[in-house]
Amino acid sequence: MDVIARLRAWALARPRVLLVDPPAKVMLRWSVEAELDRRGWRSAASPADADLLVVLGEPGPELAAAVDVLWSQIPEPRHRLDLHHERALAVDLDAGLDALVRRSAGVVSGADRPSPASLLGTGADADDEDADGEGMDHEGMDHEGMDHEGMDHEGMDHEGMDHEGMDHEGMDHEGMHMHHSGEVAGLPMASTASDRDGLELDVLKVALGPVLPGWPTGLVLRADLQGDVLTSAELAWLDADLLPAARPHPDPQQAALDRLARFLDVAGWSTAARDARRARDGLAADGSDQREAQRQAEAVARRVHRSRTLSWTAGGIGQAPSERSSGAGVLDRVRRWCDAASGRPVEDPPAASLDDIAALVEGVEIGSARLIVASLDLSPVPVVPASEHAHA
Amino acid sequence: MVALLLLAAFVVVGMAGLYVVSSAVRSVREPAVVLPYESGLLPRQHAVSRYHARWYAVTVLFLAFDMEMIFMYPWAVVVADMGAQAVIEMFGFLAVLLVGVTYVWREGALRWT
Amino acid sequence: MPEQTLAEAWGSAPAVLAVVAVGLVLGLVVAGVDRAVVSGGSGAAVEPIRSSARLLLEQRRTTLAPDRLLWRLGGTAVPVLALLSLAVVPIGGRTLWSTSADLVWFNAMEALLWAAVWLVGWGPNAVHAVTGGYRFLAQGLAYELPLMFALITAGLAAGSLRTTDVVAAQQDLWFVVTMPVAFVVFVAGAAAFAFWGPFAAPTAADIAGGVSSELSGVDRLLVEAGRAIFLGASAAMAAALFLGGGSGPWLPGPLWHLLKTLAVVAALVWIGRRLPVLRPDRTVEVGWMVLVPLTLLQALVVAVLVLTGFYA
Repeated sequence: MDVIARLRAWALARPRVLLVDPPAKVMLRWSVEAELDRRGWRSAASPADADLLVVLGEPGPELAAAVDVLWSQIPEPRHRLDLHHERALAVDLDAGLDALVRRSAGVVSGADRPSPASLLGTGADADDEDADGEGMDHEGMDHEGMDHEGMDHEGMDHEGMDHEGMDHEGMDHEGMHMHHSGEVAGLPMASTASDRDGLELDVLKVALGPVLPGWPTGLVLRADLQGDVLTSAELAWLDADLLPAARPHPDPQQAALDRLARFLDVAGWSTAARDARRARDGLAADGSDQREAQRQAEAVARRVHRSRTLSWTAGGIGQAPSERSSGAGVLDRVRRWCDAASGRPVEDPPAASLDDIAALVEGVEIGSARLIVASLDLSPVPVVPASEHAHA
Repeated sequence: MVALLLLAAFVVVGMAGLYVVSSAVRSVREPAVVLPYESGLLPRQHAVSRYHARWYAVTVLFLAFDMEMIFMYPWAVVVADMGAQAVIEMFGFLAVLLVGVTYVWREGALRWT
Repeated sequence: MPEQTLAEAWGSAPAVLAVVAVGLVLGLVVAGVDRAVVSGGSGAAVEPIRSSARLLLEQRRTTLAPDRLLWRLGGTAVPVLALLSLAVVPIGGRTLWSTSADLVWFNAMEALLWAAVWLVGWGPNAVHAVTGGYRFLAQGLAYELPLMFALITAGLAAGSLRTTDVVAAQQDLWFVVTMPVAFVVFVAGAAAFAFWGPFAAPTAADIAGGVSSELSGVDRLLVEAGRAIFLGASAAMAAALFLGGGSGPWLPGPLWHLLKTLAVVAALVWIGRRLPVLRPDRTVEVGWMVLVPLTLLQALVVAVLVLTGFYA
């Protein structure tokens, strides 16, 4: 038996980690990423791929609801770890690994996993779905006159309730009077709408975010997906009025390397992303380590700047029609980060508003949309007036 | 042929063995029933829609070429015996197809986003 | 044909066991080299074994209203196809199965991957997976034809579609010398069908892992193993078709073949991991307007060389 236990511990010694980092937890995320890299624990692309769910700090109620959904999607053995401080990071991660190994040995009943029906709320017939469904968009889009009632645990429910509204739309569209017959297992099928060529084809309601690899955690992009093209995009931050105001990073070079790393994750360039992160973490050290990190930072910035492949796959997208709100295209923004990442002073372009971004991703392929969002330094708009924030 | 069937059978048995081993060693035997991953939110519709493949024009072009490939395999074997005539005929035919490809490219069917 | 197949030489059961073992080793080698390049550091060789064991311990998942039959069918087809394609790859100078159309068999197995990977994406009824599945189809449209032309070019020079004949035809000169384009395109096309490295758009991070985004446990293990084995089998095939297979001085043939296969794997991973993911919506155009004409030109050059008796 002892042999089996040890085999189990050996197999789970490099768990996959799904990291949830609320917007204000940048420094903590850097430490966690550095520690995970040191241990060779790779990050998971989706809950199916994850063993450990690591939540940084205290997520707001809406993000917490999303974390609960993610938790329900992770296969056994799984363990959730809430990290608050950098101090006991290594100890906490070790404890998390221990718990994971124990969990794999014990007999776990499936009872603690909520069923899809209960998550979708299809068991109960709610009457206030319209109000709830609206609540979300309302909350995200404007930040005044909010009541906190809708935030508590409605976040979980209203999503599911939303489907009725959808259903009506889809069915009315085809002039039918069905109510629930379009549903399978509690969800409606995709509705149809005209595409850009005027063809009547299926459109799928999708959400990108709040938790997606390389995505600004907490941001939600809701859109219609026609094939692989996004239309009618709307963006909002979860828990928008609870988030602290964004602060500039203490070190612009490290911040640029961090942004670059996230962009490279999205662009599928894992080796360059790894180098950028290592350079970012190394810059915090001093002496020869720091010089080495500076060298590494310059190398990765040069590599990304000069990459023809990247300029081919990411070129020509993300240009604002007016060219003023968010600078030029994705590639120019990334190259500006490359300059900042190698230590040259670079003037930050004015932050793009969520409406600007929604305009940028309108009608583009989903991969392009991801690159566009990753090429913008997004932090939640604070409640303070925009003019104070513009130069932060 | 027997060897090939044996290989297929062996691979299938091996995979079944993996399933058995896994269900013996893992802590929860029954699969987890979960919602599809939608970045932490709940899905609003079933994803298995009639997907709008914008590259459908390329598939037609591909079929035309793919049919041609079927002739090219036996052709490759007989080129040495048939001589120059076989080469001229095949590449003449391919040239005609390539004209078609160029036309499709000029029409912009090879880019869809 | 005077030459024996592996099955005739060793008996069916040992030959089949050998092919499967070689497939598994090749898959582990590919995964290990990949891991070493991506994460660096020591111990990369055991990491693929560790991940496999971890996936065996992991619970399986099923999503809301999945197309379960097609999903599992696709997932199990990936490793089956990868191992079946090894049946025509020479191991110790002999293939498990030898017909007059070995290259067509290899091509067919790779073409069936289209269906298998798409099914893996379609099955779970999840938006990222479906998107990934269709990306794979779009990618296939770009790379299938160049890959086929590369295979045919090797057969053309040898005047035979039998793998062992192609290897034998390279006694004097490796095919890579006269058909470098076909060699490079073959290896790159194989990587595209293993949706690996710069061709990993169907499983890319921007769609949360795409076709594999809902896979866990054994189901994930089979798909991941399948793509690694297919990549390893393709490297071995590339070594046989273009690098002379087991030919070489001093060392025994099988060892030469192994060394060449390792060299192909190392070069592929080293170059592939220096690139970001190529988006299918951009590469289809290049596949048709650059790779197809280039490989055809390569085939024309080889056809003319055949007429002049260069390979005879």
